[in-house]
Amino acid sequence: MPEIRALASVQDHVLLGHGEVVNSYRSLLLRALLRERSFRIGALIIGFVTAGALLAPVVAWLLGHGVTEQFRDTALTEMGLPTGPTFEFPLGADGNGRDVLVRTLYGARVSLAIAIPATTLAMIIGTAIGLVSGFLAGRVDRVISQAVDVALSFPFIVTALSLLSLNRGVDGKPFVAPSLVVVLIITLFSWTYFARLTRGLVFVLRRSPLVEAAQTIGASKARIIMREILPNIAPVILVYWAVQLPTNIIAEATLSFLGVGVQAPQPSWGNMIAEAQRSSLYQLQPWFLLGPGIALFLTVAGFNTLSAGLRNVLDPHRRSG
Amino acid sequence: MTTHVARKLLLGIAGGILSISVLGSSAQAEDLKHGGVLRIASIQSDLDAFDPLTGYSIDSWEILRATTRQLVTYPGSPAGLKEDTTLVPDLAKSWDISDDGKVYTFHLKDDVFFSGSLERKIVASDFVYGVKRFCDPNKQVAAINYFNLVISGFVDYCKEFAKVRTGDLAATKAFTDTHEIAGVSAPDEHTLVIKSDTKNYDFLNILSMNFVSPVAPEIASKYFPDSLESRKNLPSSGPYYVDTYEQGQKLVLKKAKNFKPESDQARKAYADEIDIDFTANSEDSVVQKIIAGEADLSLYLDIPPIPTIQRFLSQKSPDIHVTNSGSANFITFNQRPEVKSDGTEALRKLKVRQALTYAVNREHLAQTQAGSIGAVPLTQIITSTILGFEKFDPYPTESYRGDPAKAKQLLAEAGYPNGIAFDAIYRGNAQFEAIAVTAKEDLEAAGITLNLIPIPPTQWYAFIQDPKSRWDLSLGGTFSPDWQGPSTRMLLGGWLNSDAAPCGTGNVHAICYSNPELNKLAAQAYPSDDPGPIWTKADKLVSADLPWIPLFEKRKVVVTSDRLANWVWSSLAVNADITNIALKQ
Repeated sequence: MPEIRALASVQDHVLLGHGEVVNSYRSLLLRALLRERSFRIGALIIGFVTAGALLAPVVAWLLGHGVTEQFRDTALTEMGLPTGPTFEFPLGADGNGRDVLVRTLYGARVSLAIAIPATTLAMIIGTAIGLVSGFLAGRVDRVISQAVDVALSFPFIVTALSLLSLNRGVDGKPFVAPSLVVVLIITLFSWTYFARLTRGLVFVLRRSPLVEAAQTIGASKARIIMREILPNIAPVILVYWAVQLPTNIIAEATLSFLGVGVQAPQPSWGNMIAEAQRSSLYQLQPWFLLGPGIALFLTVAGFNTLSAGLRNVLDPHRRSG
Repeated sequence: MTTHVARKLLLGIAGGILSISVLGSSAQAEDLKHGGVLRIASIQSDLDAFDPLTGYSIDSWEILRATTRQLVTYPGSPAGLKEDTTLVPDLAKSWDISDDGKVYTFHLKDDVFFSGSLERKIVASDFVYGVKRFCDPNKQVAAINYFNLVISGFVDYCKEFAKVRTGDLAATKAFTDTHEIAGVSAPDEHTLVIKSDTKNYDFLNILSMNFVSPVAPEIASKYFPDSLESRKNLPSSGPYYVDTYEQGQKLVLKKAKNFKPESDQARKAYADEIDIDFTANSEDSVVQKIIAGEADLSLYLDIPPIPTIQRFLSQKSPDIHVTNSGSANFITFNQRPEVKSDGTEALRKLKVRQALTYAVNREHLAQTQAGSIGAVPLTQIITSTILGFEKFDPYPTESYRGDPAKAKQLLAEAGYPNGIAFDAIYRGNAQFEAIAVTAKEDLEAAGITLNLIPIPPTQWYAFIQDPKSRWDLSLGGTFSPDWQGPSTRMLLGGWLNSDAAPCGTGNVHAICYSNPELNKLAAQAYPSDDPGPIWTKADKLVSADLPWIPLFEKRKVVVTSDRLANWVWSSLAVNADITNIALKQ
């Protein structure tokens, strides 16, 4: 069966060629990104924060300080005032004699563990809704747009506080883990931005020659959306994911600051900042506030810088403009 | 025959003592001027209660001091809380006590008036109505246990009142109009008679609490007790009336025009106005307001933040005031019989409670309250300013640091060799969170796991008193003596006495404890002329049985602005006496 073998060889060749195109595109993209200064700085900062989050248990082990462990005899005075930075406590202690550095590093885990899934979930939901709305247009689009407007009209803090307080049974215990509710709440308030962005992009693309050509050869709507439109808007959506992520990190910190996010004694940057502020101990041990404060700033600044770099490279409008 | 003469003699002696203690500061008192606005910053966004019927927190009593008067009261003391124990006449000008000590006849002053929504003379029947409200099924008096025991016919009256349907103001009014309490009567406008089935050594002290205030029936019967409308409209019997009340914003009290300072031996009412600001929502923001001079005093601030205390102390500021308060913090248990969780079942065993008391590190917990300036470890039920106190530690550990090994051993003996877990609720503010996380960390070493559950502070009392709430232990237990000195009845004869306060009633912590031996001792103490030793015995009995785990006794630390011209403690408020503090002019 020589014909079959020849066909297989051609297929292999084509596939190999396709792989080369992809590889070459990837290396081009990587080179372009690495040439972009804001991307490099952003990636460096995020790498630093991520490494800190991953190495938190190692740092805790090296210092001999567990994340919730209290050292009331060595880190606090008789009056309960915490020590400042020392060799044993590099960023000093908090009001309960716990290591601020260790807690800040563990706080990074919480921030990323909540903000990344929440933003990704929001991206998936928002993009799916935006694709349907933008492509089908007409009545469906009007209904979805109205729904997005309604969702956007809810004030974040008030709604989040209400939902989190509803998450408590008569026994005082939460129905669902508060951190999961925080992920869902942040998702609830972020998907709309992705939906609007996607809808706008699809609205332009649905009348493009690319889509018209696909319609002419009889491609189904689902195929057009998945194979023609989605790959074209994906870079912009990914850039927006990086833009939205720092906003969501702050949202998590805000909820924890208000006492409804991550609960004591687990640390998050928000509840650490709240504790430093409520107890006024930042006046005597500024690192109690500065530790999580700087970490939050660095992370937000890192993701903002990274997203600016990504936008410069990936956003076609930027490049053409 | 009554002891009217003896009473006058006693009053004379009390007055003499008072005048001697005041003599030293008389020069200062003369310098104090009337006028100005006293400003108070509250951490809570509203008062937890603002009706003499329901107010039972020291903070609500601080404000009620300005808007209510009683038959007898304490004049406040610049020296300290336990120095404010001398009762003086308030709305009563004198009283007679029957020979058997069971009947008190009060003669009311002539020049005392309601102010605010109603301006008329206060008469004896207003007290009768005030007491009749105590068992209003819509909202019951906060400390009913006292009155169950000391007022004749009170329990029977309440049983009848309980049959009235709730939510119907007309039905409530019809009941109070047609039913009387056998032990409370007003033979005429100026005479009030209160009868008890037994002699009670602390009868007058009980009447000094804000609950026993005159209430105008023509206004009060229009509203549900302590509702917003009631808060705005209930006439004041004190030197100040409610001028403005905006929930979550502010409460403005103004001095009543018909208040006659010469008829009030306890309140000078120096300030023209008292403003309470509800917009500061954290310990830090309240003290910042005080330091910046935007507020003079705080409300709902149990203890100022530690850096603030240190700052005032290091600056040797005259604006920090510290006194022994007799207040305490403890861990309570959910012992309602209908609750059947593993944790609550375990806590019914003495050995588990003993394990808990060995597992807590009281030194660490006192450290969360600014160390020895703010708190000292406590190992018994009653505290140092209360009658009957004798230092007692049934389960001693070195320097109050706990003994995790002993705790583990006791747990194993109780049938929990692998440790035990409890659902532990705490008030979600900085102070109680520090207690909660510290206790959790220390108990962990003894194999006791606490699943911490924060409850928003504004919902705390409602949550804990709701029988449907599920929790094993509470890290938010606190108490302050209802009055200083002979107030032992409050705990040993009240909260823990199941004859006076059956499960969950009469206290804000839903204490559900019964010990017939304690009840017997309490019954002996009430009519005794020397109740101290009986209370000491009772304290030792229950401290060993651990109806709750005592943690530490607090000292009251208050920081103020520099605008205050004097300082006076009020034992009822366990804080500043806002009716006796003057402003620098």
